[in-house]
Amino acid sequence: MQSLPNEFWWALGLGTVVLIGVTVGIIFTIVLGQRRSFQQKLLQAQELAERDRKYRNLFENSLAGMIRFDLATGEVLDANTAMMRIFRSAARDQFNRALRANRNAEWDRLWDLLVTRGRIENYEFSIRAADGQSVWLSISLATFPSEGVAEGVMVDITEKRAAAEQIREQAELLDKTADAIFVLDLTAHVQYWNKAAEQQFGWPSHEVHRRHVTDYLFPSTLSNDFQKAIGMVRERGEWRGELEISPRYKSAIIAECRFTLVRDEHGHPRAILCLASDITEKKRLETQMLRAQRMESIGTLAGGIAHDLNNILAPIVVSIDILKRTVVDTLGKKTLTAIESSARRGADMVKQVLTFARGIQGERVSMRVEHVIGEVVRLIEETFPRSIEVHNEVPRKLWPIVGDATQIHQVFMNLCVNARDAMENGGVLTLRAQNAVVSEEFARGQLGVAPGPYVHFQVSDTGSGIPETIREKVFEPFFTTKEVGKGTGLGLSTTLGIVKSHGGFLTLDTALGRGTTFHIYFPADVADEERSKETSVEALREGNDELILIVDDESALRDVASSTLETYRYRTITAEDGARALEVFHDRRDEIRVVITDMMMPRVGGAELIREIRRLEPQARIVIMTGMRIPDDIQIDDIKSVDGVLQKPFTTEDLVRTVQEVLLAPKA
Amino acid sequence: MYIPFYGVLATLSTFLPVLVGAVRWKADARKEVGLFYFLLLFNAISAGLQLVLASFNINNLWISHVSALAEVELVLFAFRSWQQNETARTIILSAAVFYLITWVFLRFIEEFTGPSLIAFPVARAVVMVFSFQMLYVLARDSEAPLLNMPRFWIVATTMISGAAAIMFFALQGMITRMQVSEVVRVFYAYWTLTILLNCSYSWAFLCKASQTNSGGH
Repeated sequence: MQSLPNEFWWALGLGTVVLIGVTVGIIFTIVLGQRRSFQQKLLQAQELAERDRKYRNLFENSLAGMIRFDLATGEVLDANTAMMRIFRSAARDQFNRALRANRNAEWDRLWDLLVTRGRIENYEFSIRAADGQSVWLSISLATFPSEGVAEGVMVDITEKRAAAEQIREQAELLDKTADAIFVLDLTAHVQYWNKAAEQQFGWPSHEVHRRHVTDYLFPSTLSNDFQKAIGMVRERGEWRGELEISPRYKSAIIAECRFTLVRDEHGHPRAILCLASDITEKKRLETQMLRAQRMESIGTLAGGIAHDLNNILAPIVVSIDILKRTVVDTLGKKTLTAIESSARRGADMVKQVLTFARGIQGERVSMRVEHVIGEVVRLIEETFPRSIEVHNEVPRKLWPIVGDATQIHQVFMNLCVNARDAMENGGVLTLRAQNAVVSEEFARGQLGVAPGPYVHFQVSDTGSGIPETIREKVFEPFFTTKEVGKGTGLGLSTTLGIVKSHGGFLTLDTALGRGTTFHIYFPADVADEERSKETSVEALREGNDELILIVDDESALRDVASSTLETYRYRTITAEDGARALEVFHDRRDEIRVVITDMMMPRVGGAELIREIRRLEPQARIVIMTGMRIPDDIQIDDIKSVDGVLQKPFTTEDLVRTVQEVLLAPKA
Repeated sequence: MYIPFYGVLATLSTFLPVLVGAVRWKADARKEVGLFYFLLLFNAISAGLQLVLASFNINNLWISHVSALAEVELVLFAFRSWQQNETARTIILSAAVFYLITWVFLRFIEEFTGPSLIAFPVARAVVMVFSFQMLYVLARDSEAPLLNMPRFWIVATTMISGAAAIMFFALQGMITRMQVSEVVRVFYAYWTLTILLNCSYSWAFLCKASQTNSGGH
């Protein structure tokens, strides 16, 4: 045995202490670190628990139904009390049963959509609650694939939908009325605008919403009356009267308006309800009726006077012949000749007055007016001053009319003479003619005019024009602006009498300093088919059985356009409005080569129809027919995108040629 | 052979954690400590046997050879059962097998009746390494303070025990050649440490109960 040195003990003791110290130190450090980390975890857990408690409270107390599904099975993992209330379930079991009972094909679609897209928002879904009642839900759900759940909210919108449905039904009723109804706020900004307002004024609801009504219906020239009316409404609560309104695509119209102040529950003014009925046509017809009555009175009076004058002149004319035999001196004979000339002139005037008053029933035969016009042109070219340039633009193949050639001749002579007198310093006299179909819409605007085929003549001059103040009187007998002795004032009244006796009508366009155009319409004699075929435009090529869809709410126009195109070997199909046209187009879109549509139609209008057709078939060929002038600066893409425009009234040539051109035009 | 009372006390202290563990076995010891309890039991028995053999002057050094193997294998299997990570479990199993092979191999080098100069220090080193790893895992994954965890006290005590024993076993060759009067000084230190460590092991079974009680129940 040996004794160990002190160093051994030091090494053993110190080594052991150091090792234990290091180990304890490591352990102590780990314990401290873990303690800190644990405290943090504890804190986080407490925060998490607090947050969880808050969210749980929110979840449980929410008025919206909140639900959580297992994404794989679709089973409900959690649902709040509001959800059970929505399903009219008192307990969780009842709720689960009710939910399971609603897992139908529609629910499967919803679930597929959710899984595919990852979220659905405000998906409206009808369920049957536990008590059997139908409940509409707005469902918003999102998937959380990492957690394997889908969760979100369901809100009971049954009452909201019922209210919306009621509002929709009421709005539909408002849209069905023919009167324009719109609601303005107190600063005259549009809040509501019904379909009739869209049709009457040409402005779609979305374009006028929240805009000031004077921006588009009452331009500065008309806004004073409107402002006065609004002032009266604010003051008295109601205003009734007539206002001139400026629609988008038409000239100004006259509307009978009823403005009523709408108040809130406290009696404070809230809005102005406006009802407007277009009475322009009514007003115009009233004016025409008054004018016709006046002309009839004048005719009756003039006829009576003419009859008496005839009685007065007859003995004079007869006596002159007797006196001629007895009077031998030169002076006496000269005097008698002068008396005879004046008497015969008076008799001629009386005859013209009687023509206006009673009309003349001469020999009526089917005739071609272009021949008569040819004679008139030859005559005026020889007799009129050289300063007047005569243009004959009358085509050869017009429809025939039934009439008296002499009287027709007189009509054109009278109008040409009037034109000459309007162009004292020379100018251009143009005669034009074309076959035309007068639509019901156009005929409604003219007193005593029936829709159908007409031959439309125009006699235009570039003279002084007729002032508006005398425009109403130009057809009255003895009204003349010529110097005394130069005119009898019977030319236009005689012309009107002849045209009317032929079943036609006459209108005029005039502008001061630019000239006047008389439009003369004679009914076409299209009864004889052979003759009608003869008069058709030979230059037009026939179709190749292409199918044309014709859309117009006027049956006469539809029928005429259809039969015209069928004559030219096209097949046609017609629709009375845009909605029907869309159905037809949808069914036969592959066959239909051209769509010809009116713009103003009930239910679905032309613009909407064009938009829908373009959506279904972007390359569709579309022609619009319109009686309105389309402004050059029009901003509507739908109308801009069309392939052709037919201005009403249009001729056979216009129609067939437009269809041909549209069919031949290349399409991108 | 005369054995000081302090040595007997140290030996008896090895029974303390076994007793406390047995009392707490049903409550939480079985679940929390599991296999390690059997190591404590083995240590107590082997310490008792060593004391008896020493008192009859019978060579008891072979016990340390067996203890080395038993300690490594039981500790490693206990730690393995506490691990969730499959890789860690595999590594521990591999280490256990490796140590078994090493121990068998050492039988050709070390005298079974002589001091365990290689097997025991290696066993301690292995235990130290895996104790450290176990402590790290416990600190990382624990949902409660470490001081309230029986496994922490087990692991920490094992680590300190290993650290304390390393020098002792490293210098074991010299110690066995020392005079008895000098060796006793070493043993007093060793016994003191043994008593403290056994108290620490015992606390492992009580820390949870203490925590529960302090919770006001």
